[in-house]
Amino acid sequence: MDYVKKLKKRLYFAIGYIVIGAALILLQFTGRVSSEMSSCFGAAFAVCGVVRVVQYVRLLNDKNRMEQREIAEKDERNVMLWEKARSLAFGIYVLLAGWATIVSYAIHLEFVGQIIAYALCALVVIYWLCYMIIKRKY
Amino acid sequence: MENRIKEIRKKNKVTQDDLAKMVGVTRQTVISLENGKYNASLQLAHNLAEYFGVTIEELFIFEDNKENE
Repeated sequence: MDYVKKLKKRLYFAIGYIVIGAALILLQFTGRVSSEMSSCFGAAFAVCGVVRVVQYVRLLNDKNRMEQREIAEKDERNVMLWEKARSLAFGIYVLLAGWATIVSYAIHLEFVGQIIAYALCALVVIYWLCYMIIKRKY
Repeated sequence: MENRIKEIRKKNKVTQDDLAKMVGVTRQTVISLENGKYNASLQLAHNLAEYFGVTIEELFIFEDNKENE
């Protein structure tokens, strides 16, 4: 069962989230990191990890639920919806980042504007690189 | 692209849920197909046609077929 293997792999990743979360919390409590952000991120990681572990364990123990989940994940309409949503999100992000760059320069926050512009350029470059790699594959 | 999935499904007395399970998609996909909101992939069209025992051309109404009718 390929899907069982996939779920188990995801389960290990979720356990990894919990470990990372616990490590971040420990770092703050032992005084190695002074920022409270560490424990906040740690708690977020740990909670995400626990939620996912519970979810995957329940799926692994319930064959019907697992089958339904597998169908939902492989369903071609769902895949299309995810891809469309991703594509739309990318378009909106590029537009917003472009506007944010212009606004940042207009209100004399050149440094912020530069960072946003570089991030935008990096995103576009990554997009084109991915396009070229995928184009070769198909 | 129009299709006759709803018509053939009802003729065969199959529920949307059962059809979805048989062809390995969600019920929502069957609903979208029947409403003409979503066009099936070649694989799904094949699976549906095979399940109902009809040809893809009988199940899906292509524009060329429509003109010929």
